[in-house]
Amino acid sequence: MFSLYVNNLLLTVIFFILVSWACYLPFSCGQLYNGPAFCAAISGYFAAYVTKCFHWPVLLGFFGGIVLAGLFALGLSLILAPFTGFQMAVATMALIFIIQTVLKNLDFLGGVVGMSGFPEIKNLLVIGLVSVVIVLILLHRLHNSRWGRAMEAVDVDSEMARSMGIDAIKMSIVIQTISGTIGGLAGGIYTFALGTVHPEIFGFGLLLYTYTIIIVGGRHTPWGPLFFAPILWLIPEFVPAGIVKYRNFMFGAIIIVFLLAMPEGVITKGLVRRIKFALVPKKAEGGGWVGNGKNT
Amino acid sequence: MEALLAIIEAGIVSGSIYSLIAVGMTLLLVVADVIQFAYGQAVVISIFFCWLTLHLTNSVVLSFFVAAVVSTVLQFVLEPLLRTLRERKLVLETLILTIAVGMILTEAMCQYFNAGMPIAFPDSMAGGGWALSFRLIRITAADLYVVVATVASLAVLAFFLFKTRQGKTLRAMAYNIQVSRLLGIPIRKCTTLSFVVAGFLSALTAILLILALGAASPVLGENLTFKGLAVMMLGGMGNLKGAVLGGFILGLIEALVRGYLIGDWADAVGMGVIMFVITLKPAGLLGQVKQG
Repeated sequence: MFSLYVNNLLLTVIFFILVSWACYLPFSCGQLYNGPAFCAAISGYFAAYVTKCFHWPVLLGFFGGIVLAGLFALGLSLILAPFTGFQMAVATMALIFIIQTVLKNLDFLGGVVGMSGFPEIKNLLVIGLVSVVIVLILLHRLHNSRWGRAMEAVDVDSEMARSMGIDAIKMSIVIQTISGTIGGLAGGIYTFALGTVHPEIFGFGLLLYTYTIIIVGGRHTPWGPLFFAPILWLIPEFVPAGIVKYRNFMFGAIIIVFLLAMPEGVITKGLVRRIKFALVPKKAEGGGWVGNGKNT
Repeated sequence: MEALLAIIEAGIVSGSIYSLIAVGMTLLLVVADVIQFAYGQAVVISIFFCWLTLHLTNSVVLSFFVAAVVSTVLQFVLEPLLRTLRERKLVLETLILTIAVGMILTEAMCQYFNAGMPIAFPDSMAGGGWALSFRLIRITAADLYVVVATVASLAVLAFFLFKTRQGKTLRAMAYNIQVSRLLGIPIRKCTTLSFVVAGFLSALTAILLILALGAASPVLGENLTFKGLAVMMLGGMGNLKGAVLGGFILGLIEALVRGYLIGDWADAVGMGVIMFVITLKPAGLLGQVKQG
């Protein structure tokens, strides 16, 4: 349907949307969890290895990678759940470091060069788009549920939230598992989109782009990454080549400017609420809106 | 046995560097409540400026001076950037801002210094000149300078913090900032002072790294920051003694792994050991003074 170039561009945007959502979820409850980066690496490497070396069916390898990433995130979350914000950030960065070093030293995974030559997935773009829709629905439902409100409470004041009966540890385990699974999904898509996987793809550079998308887009709603991942990623495609090489500078500068001027990001909860009220018809006057539906 | 002694010697040297980095970062954490993810990058970019000055002027003294100034000024300049977010108690946002600054510094090194390739200093600077050799054990002048300078600077820092008025105000702020404010301690000035002191420590680290390694690359900064953070967690968040102890432990672990394992596993094993320790004891070896 699209040219190869446009196809790959769209898949890259889908990857950044998914990985930004994966990081946004724990961020919205006050945790700087970098697990999606190494979960993406685990998923990508698993899928590449089993499809190339053991000739697994491609889709089985793809979904197997996602499941493995989710299980890894779950296992790790049992250890990381009690960690504070800073400990979580450093521990997950350390894990990115450890996993990159392990991948570089394992010759059967290609070492520093990585792996390529594994089979393609047909209609990967369709899978990517469907994934974005499913994850968006999941995040939207989560955000507007009791869990979403509990996450918000933990973000505002975790001690108060605990004293009100919110099980922050259990929440952390669930959030990290979901985050790692979404990261694994993103990693699988990106690996098959590129046709190659190597340790540097899912490293610290990825964090810069992800944080930029979350900080600019807004860290309290899933709509921010959805709209700003394409904008931020596609802008360099349309600027002169001489400016593109300063991409990392621009991303870093954008983060700094937004953090100082608009730390809530562009799409805030207030903005989403205002748009929602503008789009949804008002209730009839005199009917009132009370929780039990009775007229006042 | 000689091999083990040589490895321990190497571990003590690298541990000294890690301790200095961790102490500088810990100081910023306890006084300014900032986790400086750009600390290592600030150290390395000042090494790059030193290299550039050496190439332009051929003067070792001037190049060391430039390294020291760049390092200190960078920390000083970062303080106002972080102040707004700190005062609003936006912890995660402060972390991310320092990560962004670190990445900008790394990118600057990749783009503007030696076309992103690693840099090397002349042999006369790297290694520090003479060396004592006994079979497998080789102690260079640089090794001695690193260890002696680390011990001396930590002693000076301890004197500053415990025996001088400014040091006591920094400790008061670290202990309870609200009471410090009520007592009339100028919080902003003292916070700026802590950044300047951290800048001096990073300047010293840069110079010692030039002597010890004789080379640097843009990614070295991320590596150093990372290890500084890991050492802070190992020793205990906000615990200066823990930072020193953790630095030497990490240095020794990495040296042992490099000495006895084939392949480049030192970083992974070092981080793995730290992760294991903090899983068992989340407060770190000596307990945490400040939560992240």
